[in-house]
Amino acid sequence: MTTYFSFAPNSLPGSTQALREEIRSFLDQELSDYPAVKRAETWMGYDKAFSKKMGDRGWLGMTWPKQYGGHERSAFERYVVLEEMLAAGAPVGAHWIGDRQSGPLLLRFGTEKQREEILPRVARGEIFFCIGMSEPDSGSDLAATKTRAQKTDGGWLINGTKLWSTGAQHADYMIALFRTESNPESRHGGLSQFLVDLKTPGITVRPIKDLSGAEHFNEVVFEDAFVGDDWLVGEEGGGWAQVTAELAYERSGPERYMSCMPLLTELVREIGPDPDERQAIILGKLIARLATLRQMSISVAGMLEDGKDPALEASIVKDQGALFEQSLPHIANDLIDGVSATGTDYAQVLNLLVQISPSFSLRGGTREILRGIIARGLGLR
Amino acid sequence: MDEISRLLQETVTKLFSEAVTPELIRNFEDGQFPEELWAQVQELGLLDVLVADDDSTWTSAYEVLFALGRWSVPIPLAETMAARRLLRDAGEEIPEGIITLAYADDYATKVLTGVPWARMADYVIVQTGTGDETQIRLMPIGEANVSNKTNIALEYRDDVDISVAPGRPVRKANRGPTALEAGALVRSVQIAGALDGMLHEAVTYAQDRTQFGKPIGKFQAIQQQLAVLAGRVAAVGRAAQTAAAAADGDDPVIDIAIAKIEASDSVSETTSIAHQVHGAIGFTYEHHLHFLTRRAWAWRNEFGATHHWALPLGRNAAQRGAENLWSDLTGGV
Repeated sequence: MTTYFSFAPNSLPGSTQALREEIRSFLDQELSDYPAVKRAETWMGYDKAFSKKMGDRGWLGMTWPKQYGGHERSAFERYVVLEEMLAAGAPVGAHWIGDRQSGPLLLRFGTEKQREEILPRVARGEIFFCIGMSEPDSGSDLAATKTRAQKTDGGWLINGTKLWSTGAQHADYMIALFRTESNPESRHGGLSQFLVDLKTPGITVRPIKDLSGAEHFNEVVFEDAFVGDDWLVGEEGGGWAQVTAELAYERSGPERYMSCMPLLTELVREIGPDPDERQAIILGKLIARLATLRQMSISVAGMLEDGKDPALEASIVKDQGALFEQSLPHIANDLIDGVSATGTDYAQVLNLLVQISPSFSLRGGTREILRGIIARGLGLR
Repeated sequence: MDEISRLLQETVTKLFSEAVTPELIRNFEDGQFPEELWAQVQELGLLDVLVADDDSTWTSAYEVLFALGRWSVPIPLAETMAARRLLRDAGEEIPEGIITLAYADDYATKVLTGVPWARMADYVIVQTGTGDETQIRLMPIGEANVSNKTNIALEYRDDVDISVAPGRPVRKANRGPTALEAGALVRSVQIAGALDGMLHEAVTYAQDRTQFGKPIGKFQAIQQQLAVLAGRVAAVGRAAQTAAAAADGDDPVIDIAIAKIEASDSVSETTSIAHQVHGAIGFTYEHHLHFLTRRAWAWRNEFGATHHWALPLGRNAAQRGAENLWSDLTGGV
């Protein structure tokens, strides 16, 4: 076996089957008249009422301790919930970030007060998070963060701009990375994370239209916005290590290869029961790759379940997953001639995913950054 | 990893990494079969890895098959291991000696082509047809005419004229892989091993080779390529492991198809990257990289190339339809 990384041949425990059935009947009911083109948005679909229902079912904060509103279930059970939601194209965008990374981050680095006050409401599907990492002059180079948190009486004054914050226009809170020291000794020093209530005066959220015409991400401007001392997350100056851990959560899930699952479903429907030889071969290859990515993703869930750090393995799955989901709309486009512009479900789903597919290798860490992490894992950096 | 797998892995890694030197493989390519190594393998009981006792598994045998690919081991171990298991699964007596595997679409086939190691084998298990059409025969090779041929890695892949030696029918096992599926599984795991070898070779080379005043592995252009290679190595290894575990169950055909598609379909990209990183030296006969890459190029076509396995997988998915796509994919949990 290779020595660089580990993808243990885990399979999901048989006990997850009942949960899977429960989710499927829930989704059958909830999404009975939910159109294909909306399903194609997968985790960009935003519906707070749907998230609340998931909270009621105990499907948010699944692995967290009960004392913080969690359900102490396994990483495998959580994995099943995630993949069933994505396969169905359920509108999970509202709670996705809080459940995936903000909650786990607070659980690990937050104060007792922060955990008690915030986590149960995330798990109930009542409050929603966005991410505050990138800035106009700080994208892949996160250490170049400029937005400043200046110490003041009883808290911090924030000035600067965060960019590409998905869902910020609807979210209640942001976990943001700010600069708390101007000239730190090390390049990765002087950064700190804060829990920011987006209703705070001095914060302006402006949606940014993407090339498909949709508004998912935002610019968030801070002008003397006050954040109390109680809302510093973790250690002052420890932001770099914390944000690295947060990104590992962000990269660990099945959404990194399942963005096109609704398209694959519609493609199979459109091709019908009698594919020509070329269609069948390509479909077979797509299914093989999808199945393999799923196996790899389950291995990552197994590492989370065992309390191991899957940062390298998650980066590998995300890089390979993005290659798959980014190529799929174009492969599909070549498989069927004469698809009408917008008429059928298939055409609508295809048109949407062709347009949003460039983001698959940008969001959550660009392809180049991920490959840099993998190269480090290979001992090259 | 369980204890048996760990022991096997240690044993074969030690044996092959020390014994299978570039010189041994070059000698093999010059016509000198590694008799001493083959004797050691038999002494260690490796031919019986899949039949040693009732608990012998493909899951454990994976470690042996992977090492055979990782170290480019030029002996008929993979085929014999698999063949012995197939006979046991079918409730047949297992004869002594080297047993190989062959497949033909049609029972009327007169000449089997590309039969691994046939010139030195004692028996061949011949599968004709798939699905309900499957027929299995066991044939003593001594009765057939064998013409020596090789694959592009110069491994023995002989033509066997069976018109005078039809052999005898053997039972079909009611669980586990067929001969064709076992062959595809074996090659998938060997490819996984070979790709892993390429990754190790390429990373090591990138760390050692200096240009423009620093190791080329420090350049992002090289790092980015090696990251892609690592991703494919991880994927092919995971798919092959899943297929091996499935072979211990009742019906492994889909997982084996997935593994062989992933393995065969990844060979082009991975061998390209391994060679690109090595530059011209990797293109010489003197350097040992090609022992891995030439095997990968050969193995991707053996026991079914990508399209052989992708076609029925795609047809089946289309027939099952959109409604069953996801539930079928998750059916094996």
